[in-house]
Amino acid sequence: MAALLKKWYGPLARGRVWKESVHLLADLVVGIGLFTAVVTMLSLSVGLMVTLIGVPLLVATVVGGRVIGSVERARVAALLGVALPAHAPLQWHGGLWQRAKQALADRPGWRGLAYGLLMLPWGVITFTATVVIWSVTLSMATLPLWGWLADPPPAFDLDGVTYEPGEWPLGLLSLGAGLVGLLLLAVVPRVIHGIAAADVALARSLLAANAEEQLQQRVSELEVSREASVESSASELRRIERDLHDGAQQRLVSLAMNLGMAKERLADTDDERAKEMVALAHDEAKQAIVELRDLVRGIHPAVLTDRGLDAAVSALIARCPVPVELHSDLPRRLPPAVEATAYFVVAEALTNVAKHSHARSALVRLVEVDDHLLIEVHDDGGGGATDAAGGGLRGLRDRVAGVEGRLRIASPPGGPTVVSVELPCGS
Amino acid sequence: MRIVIAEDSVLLREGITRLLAEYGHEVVAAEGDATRLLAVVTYHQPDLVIVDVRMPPTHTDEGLRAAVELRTQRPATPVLVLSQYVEERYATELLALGTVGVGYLLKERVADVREFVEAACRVADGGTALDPEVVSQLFARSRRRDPLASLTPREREVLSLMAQGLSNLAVAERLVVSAGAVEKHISSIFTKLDLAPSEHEHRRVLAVLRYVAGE
Repeated sequence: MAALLKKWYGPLARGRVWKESVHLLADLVVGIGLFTAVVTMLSLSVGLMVTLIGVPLLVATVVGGRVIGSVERARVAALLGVALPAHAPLQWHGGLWQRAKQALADRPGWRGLAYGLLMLPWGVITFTATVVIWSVTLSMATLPLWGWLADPPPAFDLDGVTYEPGEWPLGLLSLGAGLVGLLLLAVVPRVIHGIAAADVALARSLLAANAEEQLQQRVSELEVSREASVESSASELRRIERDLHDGAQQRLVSLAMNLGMAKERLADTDDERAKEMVALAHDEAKQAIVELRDLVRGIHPAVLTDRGLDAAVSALIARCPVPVELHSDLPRRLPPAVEATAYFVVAEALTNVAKHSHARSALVRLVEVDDHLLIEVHDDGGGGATDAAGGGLRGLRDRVAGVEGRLRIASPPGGPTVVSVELPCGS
Repeated sequence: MRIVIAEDSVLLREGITRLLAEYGHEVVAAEGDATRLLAVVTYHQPDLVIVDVRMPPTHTDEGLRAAVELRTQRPATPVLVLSQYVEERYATELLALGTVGVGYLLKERVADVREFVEAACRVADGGTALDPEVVSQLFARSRRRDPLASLTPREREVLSLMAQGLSNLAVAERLVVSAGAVEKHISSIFTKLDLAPSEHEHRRVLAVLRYVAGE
């Protein structure tokens, strides 16, 4: 029995039905306000369209539609407990006129306005329904009490029969009404919840981002975070290069210089053993400088930061034992991550040319076409280059994929080999 | 001679100052960045300016820019550029203003103390000092490979040392041959490369560099 009572009347004790009722009642107030505001703003902007003020006014109205959306989503979340996914923020850029066009084409804004207009009739329905449901149910449920609490009304005649209120059959009737009211009271939370669900459905259809939009939003978030991580690893490499340059490299040069001076001093003495030891240390220090320099260049070449891809690739070519021709047509500096990737593409491809291809000559081509950097490395060697796991070209493929580029290797047995890479470099 | 140094590493700035003092040269000013270099040089009128490529504030190539600026404003001031890396592009920029009194060396060349001081003196005297690495990069980049290929290995060696700015005598010393032998190699090189012979060493360096850089 207690379980049954709890099942039927429990919802009345919980806050949900009250919050939902408040929400449904408030719908009318909100609806009147929004309807008035939206109609006023729309007619004002359309009316003033002949003057120039209409355009910014309409823009403001559409942006206002977004504000309606976010406020209403917050109200739905607070009172109905449903979190609706928000739209991506309005993307506007460019000149004033472009921004205005972007704002006027903003679907979430217009849907917010439509919601504002629909809210009035909907609010009338929800308000009426809520008031009727509650007042009928409560008054019926409490009907028997009124007989005891209030003074009995005077007797009245009907068709010659005198009725005394509080007596049979009116007393029985009010008792029956009370019973029905109590039964209804159990149903009320469910009905209110049903109307609230319709309210949520309305808000969801007009104010929430749909699945495709959410996916789109997620994709652009991921794009941003991927770009950030590529950029941060590139800048981390530049930082390491700087630190090595300022620290270890200078110290080693200084060490080698001091050893060089010691060597010169010792030249006049006849301590052969000491001369030999210092000469050895001097050579080792110089060797360490060369090794560290090569290592640092492998991490991130300074000339790439200073002068860009063309200069850095020229330097690579100058170091390549195979004669390489460079055709480069890059009118502007590219984003650092693109430059770094392109540099390592050429470096790895040329290493491959020098090590494995037996080529007699090679050609590097760098062109920017339609916001894409195209890199081609041709050689006239024996072919057979693959991007098998663990090889240098495989690492290249991963690196290129990191900036959403594409790598193709054409290397039939007998040659020639063409490594071509396409990197997006839109600003 | 009187020298101005611009080098941001305190360690090296002091080291190079000490090294030059050891050989009887005076460092009249040692700057930590390149921004005031022109003013300092104008004030001190040194016989040589030694500049590091990478310096504050941006730590990229302001040393090189300052050197180019210096050579444009005061062409008579010899400049020796030091760098952790040598890049053919930087060398081309530096040499675009002529090869009189200019040097471009890897920083680590200071370790070979005597050669470094010799190179510094050569630049101060209006000569050229190019890092062997720069020269080999220029050779590799040369658009005129075929005539270069016709040189014998020994002639290539001589050409490379000439391009570094060494005098005939210094080339002879380096290769442990007689000055006469070097002369013979040089005239053979000039014939093969179809360059106008010149008695003046500096002009010969210039001719060689022009040739190699493919101007």
